[in-house]
Amino acid sequence: MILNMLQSIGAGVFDRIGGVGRASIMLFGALFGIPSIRKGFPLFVRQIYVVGVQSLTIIMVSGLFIGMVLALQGYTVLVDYGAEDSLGPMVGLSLLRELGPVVTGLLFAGRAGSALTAEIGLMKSTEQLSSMEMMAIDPLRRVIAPRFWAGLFCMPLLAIIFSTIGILGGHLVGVEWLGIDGGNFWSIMQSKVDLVDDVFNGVIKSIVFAIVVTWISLYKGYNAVPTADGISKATTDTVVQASLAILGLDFVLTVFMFSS
Amino acid sequence: MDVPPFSKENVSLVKPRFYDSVSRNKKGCLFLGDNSVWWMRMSTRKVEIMVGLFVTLAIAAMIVLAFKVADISATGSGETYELKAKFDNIGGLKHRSAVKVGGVVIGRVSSIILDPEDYLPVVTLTLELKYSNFSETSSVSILTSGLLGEQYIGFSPGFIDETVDILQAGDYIEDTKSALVLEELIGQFLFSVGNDG
Repeated sequence: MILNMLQSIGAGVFDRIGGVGRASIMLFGALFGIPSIRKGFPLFVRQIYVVGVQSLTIIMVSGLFIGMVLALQGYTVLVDYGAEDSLGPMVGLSLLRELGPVVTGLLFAGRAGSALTAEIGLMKSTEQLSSMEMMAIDPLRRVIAPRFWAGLFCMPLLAIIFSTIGILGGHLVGVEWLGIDGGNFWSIMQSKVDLVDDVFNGVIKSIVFAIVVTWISLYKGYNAVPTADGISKATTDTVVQASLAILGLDFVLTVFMFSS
Repeated sequence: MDVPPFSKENVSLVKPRFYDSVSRNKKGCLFLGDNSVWWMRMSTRKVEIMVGLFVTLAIAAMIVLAFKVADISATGSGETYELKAKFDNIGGLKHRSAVKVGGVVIGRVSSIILDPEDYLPVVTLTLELKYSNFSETSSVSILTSGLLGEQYIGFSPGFIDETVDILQAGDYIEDTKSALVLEELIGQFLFSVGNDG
């Protein structure tokens, strides 16, 4: 009885370690897997379209609304202290440092990550991946690598677009509707926001999130149990684990970047 | 009619530009079932245009962030020089606080260290080189913008005649006024009131 329990615990631990190993091998294969620029680039561009361009609508709309809500809520607090001119840096800094990378990462995990997992899981369950291997085509190169690089390329761009649209939304609410002085809005923001400390650190965050989200979703799809049930579980796992990884990593990165 | 000689170059001339995308799609559907997915049926040209628009939008957003939000032009990429000043108390002065002459920003605080010998804070000011003609009778004081605002360094240029020198890079500004600390002020006030009574 106790022996059985120990055995199952041990098997579980070895499964996890094996999973980490498989994921690392897959990441390695995807990172160094693009065979040549000429062959790989069209696949890459097509994946940018699927992963990036098609996520653009949800990113832009949610960026606009989050910026507007931030301005509205910030105004109601700041106006009590007569500090409503500081709305610009509040909206700008919170979007550039935190909300831009994090919310983009969460939306990206839900919109593109789950789609990647389901697509690759279905490829696996219909044995397309095995048939590619039989034809001496490495599925890591043909399927995984372009998707990985496309995700890595798209998410920083999406995060930048998200932050910019959010700041414009904050400007819309703060300056046009609530009547803050537009010159103060921009100039105080300009004096508080630093290109390297705030903008570039936000981009670095979103690159890290991109690696994590794309890696998790590709691995979950590639490693899915090839049944309808298995694919559904893999898709759920992708969204849950990627979201938790983003929020956890965000804390760690914030400690390193902004805690001084 | 003048027929050009058959060669590899001429063949590539008449080849349609997006020929390879069509064949790639056909090749793709062999093992991927790509044609069953609607975006794989989209022409490569359309995909390329959409991706190009996406990247252009991202670059535009980056330019907005750089110039409108962070304003790299104002932080100054021009040539600078450094002056130092020793204060008794710097209050809430921080790295990157502004240095102003008559309200105009001429530079920023680039470092704040404590002198290990007399334990007084030494502030390094990085000023724009075009404002370099300050005499050594100039004074600096730590001021506050508004009642609760951030602190900055107010720089008052001194007079210039033949008896005083011009400040060179790395020189110390002798005449400094420390930050007003509200608690000390209240303490002095209470002390003087106590003495009167």
